[in-house]
Amino acid sequence: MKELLIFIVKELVDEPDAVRVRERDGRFAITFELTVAPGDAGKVIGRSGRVAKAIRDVLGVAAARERKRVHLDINS
Amino acid sequence: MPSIEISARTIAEATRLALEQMGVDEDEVLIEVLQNGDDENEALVRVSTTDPVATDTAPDEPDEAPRRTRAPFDPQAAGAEGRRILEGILDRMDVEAYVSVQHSTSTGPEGETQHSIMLYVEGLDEETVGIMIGRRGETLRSLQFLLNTLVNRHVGRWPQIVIDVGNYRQRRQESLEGLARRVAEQVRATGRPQALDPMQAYDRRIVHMALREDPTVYTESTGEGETRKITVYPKK
Repeated sequence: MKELLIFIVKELVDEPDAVRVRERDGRFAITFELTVAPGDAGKVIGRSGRVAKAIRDVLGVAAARERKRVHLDINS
Repeated sequence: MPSIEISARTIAEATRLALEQMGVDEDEVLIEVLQNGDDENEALVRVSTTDPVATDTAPDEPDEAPRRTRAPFDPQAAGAEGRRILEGILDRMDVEAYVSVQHSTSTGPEGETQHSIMLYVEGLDEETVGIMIGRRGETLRSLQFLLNTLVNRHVGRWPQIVIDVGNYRQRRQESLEGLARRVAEQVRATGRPQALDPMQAYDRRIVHMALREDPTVYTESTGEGETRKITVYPKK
């Protein structure tokens, strides 16, 4: 699932090499801490957080298949 | 423009057979889905090779000075890009699926040509289809928004790609058309306007289109954002 997040974010940003993801696996939820270049934060979040919501929903599909929930934190 | 029509159990299968018969690659042809396959009916696909004369006589791009002034929108390229990215996403979800691209053109309200790109996702089990569509199609809408955002970054224009999973769009379209006809019937019988529940843009468009030819009623949307809804009025 980490690969899924990295794939999407790299397609989205101007500086793909700056993309970092930390994953924390819980019993019921997986938390991803995403870090992107300062100039790319807006691209990952989108207007009114629409892009971030879409990324969370898409990660949610992969998580639901493992009966888990997913959290995504975005830093830059 | 030579073309063949082929039916098979799935769109993917029909497309593969057609390409094999014609001995061409997917990116050299226009693939139109004439009928979605379901439990009772086979999928029907028309594959046409694009006119080779047109490409031969196209003037060569000037090599010098690569000016980036609004390259014309290339739906074929946008469709191929959309498919590549969607396959990349499904692959990393550990979802086994086949993605096919359908291009179609229609005439808009001002007589302009509208191009639409539909990506069909096939071969999923029922549970995965349900998860991917989500409640009231919300997850599918997110996936579609994300895909358009990503393709937009490559082709420089919002490509209006529609994703269909497990024939959801077609089933949704049929149910909305049924609703539109029932409401039109009531409006006709009572002579009073009737408002529908708020709907997404894509769904409203289906309702508008369903009643466009109806001589007894007309439709209008009112409200903003999440509360935007259609009202059906009697035509006097």
